[in-house]
Amino acid sequence: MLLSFSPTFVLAQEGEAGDVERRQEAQAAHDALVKDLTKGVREWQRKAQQAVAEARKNNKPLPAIAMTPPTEEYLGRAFDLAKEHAGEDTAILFHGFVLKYAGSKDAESVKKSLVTLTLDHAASPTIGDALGRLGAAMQLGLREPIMELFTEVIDTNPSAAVKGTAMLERGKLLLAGESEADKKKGLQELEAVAKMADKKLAAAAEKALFPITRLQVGCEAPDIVGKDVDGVAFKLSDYRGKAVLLDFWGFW
Amino acid sequence: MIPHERSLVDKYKNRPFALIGVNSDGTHQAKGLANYRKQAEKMGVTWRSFQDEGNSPRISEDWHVQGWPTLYYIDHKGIIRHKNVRDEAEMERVLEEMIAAAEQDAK
Repeated sequence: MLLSFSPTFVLAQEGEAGDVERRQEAQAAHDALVKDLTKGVREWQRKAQQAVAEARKNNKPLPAIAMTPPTEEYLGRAFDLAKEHAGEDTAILFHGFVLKYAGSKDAESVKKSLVTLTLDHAASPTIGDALGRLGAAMQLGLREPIMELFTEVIDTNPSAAVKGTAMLERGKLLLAGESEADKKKGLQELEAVAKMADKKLAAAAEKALFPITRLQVGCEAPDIVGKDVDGVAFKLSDYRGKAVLLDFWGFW
Repeated sequence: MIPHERSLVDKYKNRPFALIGVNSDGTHQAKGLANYRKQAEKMGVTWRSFQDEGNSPRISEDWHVQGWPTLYYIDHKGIIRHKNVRDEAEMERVLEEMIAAAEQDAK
């Protein structure tokens, strides 16, 4: 493989060069998979629209169309690649793919990825990438394996930054949850992360907490400083003294 | 939505009330702005809006807006009083209350 375009590769020490190459190879395989899936989904959409148009034209009843795009093939390929990279950090990329692109019928695949990440990769320095992709898994009702993954990362990962990322992502997920108990836990977790010494993590937690701490009924509205559509600068607080209806809108 | 808002602006024009938009039609770019002006003319939108885009992060992102339209009712002291009241009669009821409070305090 020709990698001379990569400064990382050129500067890498003997021995690390293989790792870099392996990582780039995995990244390329991952990106190709994303590309194929995007194309596949687009094709599926096109065919569905065509079938509907055809039926309308011929005054036939509308055809039954699958509600979810055909993700199975791509998830299968992701698992094959994950197997090739089993036990290596690079496998996380492919499990991350499964977590991100799984549809409503892919709960089993997602569960498999969650369990593998928990067993093989919880202590990896790159596990943080996968932790931000758990929203779909949560929607699929996989709360338990998700929480096990978080717990394992927080207990076993040697990096304080990765542990903090796990707490941040767990807090965000819980805060967005259905139950009041989850919301409360998420709030507490994010408040704890917001007090951490790691400035980047603390700021991310603050941001996630913003709707709770600043946008509730009874809060003073955060000021908005910006430009109107004609380019004239103004502030929301310029309208103090008036009752303001603030409307996020568009013509579309 | 827009016709009712137009009527609110008209109804409260001599009272302490402002309708402020955060518009996400991409008016930071010439094409978006041209389209905005055309539509605003057609629909009678005369009130002021922030450009949502062109800020980093976007105002709507900062405010965690998850659906459009999203409405905040902010009183004359800057306190958020209601969110996402969309029923027209209810909108007028809460606005009347807030405007009356602003008038009371101005005395």
